[in-house]
Amino acid sequence: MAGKTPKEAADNFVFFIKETLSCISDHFVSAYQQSKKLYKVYYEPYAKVTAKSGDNYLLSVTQIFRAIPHPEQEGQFKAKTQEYSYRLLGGPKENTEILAYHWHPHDPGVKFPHLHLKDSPRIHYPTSRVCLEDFVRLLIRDFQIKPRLKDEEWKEILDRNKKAFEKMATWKVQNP
Amino acid sequence: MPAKKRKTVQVKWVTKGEFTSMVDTRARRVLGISGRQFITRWKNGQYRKLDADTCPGAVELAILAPLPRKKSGRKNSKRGRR
Repeated sequence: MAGKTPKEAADNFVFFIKETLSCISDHFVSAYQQSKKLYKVYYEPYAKVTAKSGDNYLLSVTQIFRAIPHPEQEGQFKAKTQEYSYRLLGGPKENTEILAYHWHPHDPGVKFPHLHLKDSPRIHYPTSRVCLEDFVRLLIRDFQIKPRLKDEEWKEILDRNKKAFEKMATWKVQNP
Repeated sequence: MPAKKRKTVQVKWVTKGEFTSMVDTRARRVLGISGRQFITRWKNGQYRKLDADTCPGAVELAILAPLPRKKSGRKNSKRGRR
């Protein structure tokens, strides 16, 4: 995911996000370069995903990252996640949120990565850092969201992208 | 035999104007106010107790919005030092 310029590193990171999300949605991903180093990737409008039962859900994914000099590869840059939010909603209204994985250390609320669940309001369940690939896998496995790709394809993408992410991550995902 | 075609998804790189419009849309949907009002109220410290459960979507709005870094609505925020 490294790049020769900050923009190249950002483009590479956005590609991974796009590819991971393409396992369950054909919705386009929006990206914005707020400054030379700060980038924001998000869904707007939220992406519709469908379960095998036919139930529809909405997906909101927001990833904020910086392109920084690579600490180990001189002249290279890498993406460093600054904040994230991965949410699953039962409908178009915000109060239909079923679960949300958050990490927003620079904003109000708790500073550690956490999980919100619809059935236990105001509780911030501490989590490890959660990567997008694990969130998508959770949706396919436990919420029975229909993948767009063949099983061998989406599994290969999620495995490959998670490995790439873990290789570059400054602080690691704690696998179960 | 044609090459195998993967179902690709597009990335839309948005302009500053499009991003500002998105923040406005999001603020109206989540809080019922404009994006500009949200940023003003943030500057005035009205969202120090912003909570994802009492207002789902608000945290996401806060991390998306181009909030000021040196004058955050939250005391002792690290945002000013980033």
